[in-house]
Amino acid sequence: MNDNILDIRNLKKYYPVKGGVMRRHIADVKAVDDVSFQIKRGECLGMVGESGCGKTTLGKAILRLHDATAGRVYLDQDAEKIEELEALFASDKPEAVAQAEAMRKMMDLTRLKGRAMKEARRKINIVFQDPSNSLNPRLLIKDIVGEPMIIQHVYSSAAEVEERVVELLGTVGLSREHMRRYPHEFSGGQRQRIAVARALATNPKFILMDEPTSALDVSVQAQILNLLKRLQDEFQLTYLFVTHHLLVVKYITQRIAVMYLGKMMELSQTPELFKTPLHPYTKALLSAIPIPDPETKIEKIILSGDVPNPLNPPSGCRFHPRCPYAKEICKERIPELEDAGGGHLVACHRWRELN
Amino acid sequence: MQTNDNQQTINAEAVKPVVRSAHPRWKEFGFSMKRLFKNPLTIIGVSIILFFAVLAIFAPLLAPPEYPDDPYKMPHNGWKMTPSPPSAENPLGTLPQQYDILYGIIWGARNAFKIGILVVLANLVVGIVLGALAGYFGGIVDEIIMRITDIFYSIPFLVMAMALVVAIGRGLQSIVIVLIILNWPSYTRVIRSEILVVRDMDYVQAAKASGAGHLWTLIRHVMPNSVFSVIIVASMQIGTTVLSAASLSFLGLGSGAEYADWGQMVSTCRNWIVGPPGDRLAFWYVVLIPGFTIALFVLGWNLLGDAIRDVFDPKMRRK
Amino acid sequence: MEKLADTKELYTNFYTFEGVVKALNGVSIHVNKGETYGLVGESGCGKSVTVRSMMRIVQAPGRIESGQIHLFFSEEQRDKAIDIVGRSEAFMQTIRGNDISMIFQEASSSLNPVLSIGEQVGESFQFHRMPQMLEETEKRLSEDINAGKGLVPYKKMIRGLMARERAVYERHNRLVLEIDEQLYRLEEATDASDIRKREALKRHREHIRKKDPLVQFASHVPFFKRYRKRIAFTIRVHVIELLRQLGVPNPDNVVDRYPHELSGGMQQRIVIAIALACHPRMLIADEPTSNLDVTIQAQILDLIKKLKETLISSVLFITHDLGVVAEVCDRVTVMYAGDAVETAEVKELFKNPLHPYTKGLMNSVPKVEQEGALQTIPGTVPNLIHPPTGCRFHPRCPYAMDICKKEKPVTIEHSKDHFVACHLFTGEKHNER
Repeated sequence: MNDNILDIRNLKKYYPVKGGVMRRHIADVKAVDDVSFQIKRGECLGMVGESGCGKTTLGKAILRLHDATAGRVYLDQDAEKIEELEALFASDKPEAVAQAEAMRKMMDLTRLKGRAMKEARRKINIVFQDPSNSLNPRLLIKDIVGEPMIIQHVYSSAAEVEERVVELLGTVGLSREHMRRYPHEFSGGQRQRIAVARALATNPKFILMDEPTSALDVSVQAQILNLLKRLQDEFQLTYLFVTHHLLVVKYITQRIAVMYLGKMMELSQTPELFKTPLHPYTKALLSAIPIPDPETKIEKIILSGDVPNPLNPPSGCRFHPRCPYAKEICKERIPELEDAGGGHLVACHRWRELN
Repeated sequence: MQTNDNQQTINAEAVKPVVRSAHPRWKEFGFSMKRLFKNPLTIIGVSIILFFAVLAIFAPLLAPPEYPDDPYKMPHNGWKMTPSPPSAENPLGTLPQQYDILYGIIWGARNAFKIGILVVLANLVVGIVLGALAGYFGGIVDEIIMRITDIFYSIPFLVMAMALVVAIGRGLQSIVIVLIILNWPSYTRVIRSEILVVRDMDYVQAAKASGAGHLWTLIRHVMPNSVFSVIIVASMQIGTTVLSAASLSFLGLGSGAEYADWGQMVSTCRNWIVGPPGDRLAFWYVVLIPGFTIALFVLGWNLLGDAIRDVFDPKMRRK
Repeated sequence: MEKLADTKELYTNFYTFEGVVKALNGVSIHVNKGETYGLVGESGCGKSVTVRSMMRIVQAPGRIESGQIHLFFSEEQRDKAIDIVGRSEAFMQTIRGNDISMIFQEASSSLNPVLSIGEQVGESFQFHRMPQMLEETEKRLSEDINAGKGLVPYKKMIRGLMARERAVYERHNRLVLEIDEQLYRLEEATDASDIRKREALKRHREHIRKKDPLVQFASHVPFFKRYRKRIAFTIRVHVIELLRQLGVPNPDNVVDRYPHELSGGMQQRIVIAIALACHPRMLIADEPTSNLDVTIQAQILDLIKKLKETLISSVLFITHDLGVVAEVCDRVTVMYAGDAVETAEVKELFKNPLHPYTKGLMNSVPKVEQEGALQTIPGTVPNLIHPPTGCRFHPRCPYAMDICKKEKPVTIEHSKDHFVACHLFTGEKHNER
């Protein structure tokens, strides 16, 4: 049917800024600005970027925890139907657009309602960054992990739910005795495991990992990363791994997307991104990683200035004020994602000359 | 050597050994209770409340009613206007028209509890419902509810109370109704601000991501985590409500002179607060005793509210 | 290398509701002059507690139980070590910000949101460099007076006031120094009268005030108070210069701004500026870049490296990121659960980690050329209220022996300048530290 489990087209998420006496809409914070990409079944796609780049917002918009301002998200849909719908959108004729809207109500995750949406939520789930906030402190672990199953009416009896909870806890390395406890009795790493168990409850196909190891210690991080890898193989899951830690993303992902100020700058296979980065921002980002090896000395590209504000993004290429290779064209036109060969996409006017 | 992350991931010392013990909720409750009673002020507060509760429950035994069909009518022997000082017959003295103060205090305790608990419960229900709707849904719902709350806040309490009582008619029931109508805004605000914080917590988002509807999220996740602050406010308000009711009674909006109600008792003694020249404190007992009783009642609830807040406030919890 | 500061067998406890948290279990570390010293470990290992004990700002309910902390500050007497564990708060106040400065993780919470940048950075100058500021302002005033600018008599009066204030400061400092000298001489005294003298001196030192009636009057009366503005101007000039040295663009503009108007990286620079205002001998950085983006982190680390050549002499850098350690530090100590388990030069540590925890830590960090799965350290960090007996790492150690459960390992010097505290190595004959 479709190699891609998620197909995202022209996704936008703007936050309106109201100002003035009458609280009129004067500007937008363009957190995610026209992003399109696909996630293949069973792969782990990493999404990296610094603060303000919109990676977390993008993830939550895909999961419909925020409502996207525009764009389509196709979850597990037939590839031909997607192309058909997109073609209808691209055309000018009003009947085509009307037909597109009608089809969209059944296929687009951002437009589903009621029962269809609830069923779609069975297939997707999320693991949050901060384990102390992501578990309800007043519920027992048994209730926390069992909740998705109860909401989705997966089983008919409480006993079945409980058995499944025990099974899930075992999968993540905990045991039956931990069921009847409160979250505050566990350490950060254990809580994150519980969050993973909860995400697996309804046998989803896709899980959004929103910086799952950033709040954990280094040694615990290794445990969780190994766990996530194992689970991906065991249950054929697809991950969208959002993080700012480049070495972690190198370890666990097969493809990486680099975001900057709401736009995607580069997307490629992981080893290739680290060996031959094409975009200047990626190059600077990679050179800035502190390497745990005192012998290697990398020439650091120190970017001037700070990460700009998504409220007032620069014109043209978002990166041009800090880019050491910026030219006139970079100020005027927004670069599109071009294929540099073998699925390695890059959005830069000058990528050919610089490599 | 590939370390399997499954083996020995749980340090035996890190998780306490499992014993066939009570349900963890009871354990938590027990722990909180222990914390609660470590504080000497709590013990004082709870003792005061228990003392009044005993008075209220055993009123028929401690002060047998003179008029069986209406135990709230205070007994009096005589019609003399000047209050009599404490004596063998009237251990705490009498009010004008010889109503027995001791009787009034004991049966007044019942009224105090009634007023306090009724008003606060009703306020809690209204406040929680409105506050939850406003905080959780936000947007226009929030605006409307908050503006209504603001309107109620801006009305001067005493003026409105008097107007309403005049409209409904005098009596203790009127005071209760008036207090219910006028006191709910603070509860709404408190719970709304708590909900605004809880609403953005990750576990609420996780429930949404699993497909939970609004009602489920509200009842299972949002409310249990935001209701504690309101409970603390409520427990302190029980005392304050009685004080407000007493003030309204003092202004003459309460029940008639013979009714056993603390505020009303002070009200009838308006003219005897200051005694005749040369003996200003002649009638100390008419104001001091009912007044002191009210103060003690409020103090008890305040101490309890403070102690509950110290133990249950999530920011000050041990974890 | 010469030592700048060290601790010996430092024990710090926290007396909490649940029990006594034995945060530090006999930590002995030392920082040399002119080096960047790294303190690595995970959360709860005690690195923050160690430096806070060194600065004597351990938060209640914490208390330094026993041990010594020495600072080697005197220029003439190299070995003169001042033990600051027992010193008074007044003494510590002259050291903090002046000789040792500290910067914290969250730049935004280190800055006061209602004061402008200029005011905050200027505070360091106000506390520690007042005589110098007064002198400079006086000089400027004298120049103005000679040039005949403005209300000459008024300026003369102000200059007079400043001279008096400066005299007060200098006298106070001199007095304090004398008392400190006497205290040092009486340090080892056991004779009863000497002890009494010592106690009296300590009390006196706490309470001597900078006093001069005219200056007191002038600093409170509205019209005369204006003389303070000139000092503020001098301080401002210094602040702008300092910000320029730290690479802050448009320092004249930034000086009047408020912290919330700046980005995270810029705020961290301001925090560093406040710490470096008085040219301290040692800068303690408690995870300063952990919250920052990678590119901003690179900027800040680069800045610290540059500043080491000019403004700072030694840096104590706390972090949990081994990459940062490899980049910035010269020498490193690895801490675990309140123990300093291994100390070595950075290159030596990465090439030849000895302690099982260090090895485990290095294997669990993803590297650029990662082969195979990440090795993990089984188990979790222990509860410090009931810490494991003997070596605190033994429940998680793949090489644990019987002796590890019973005895705490002593730190030995395994090879030159490479110290480790592990029973695996005490069997071999090496120098006892």
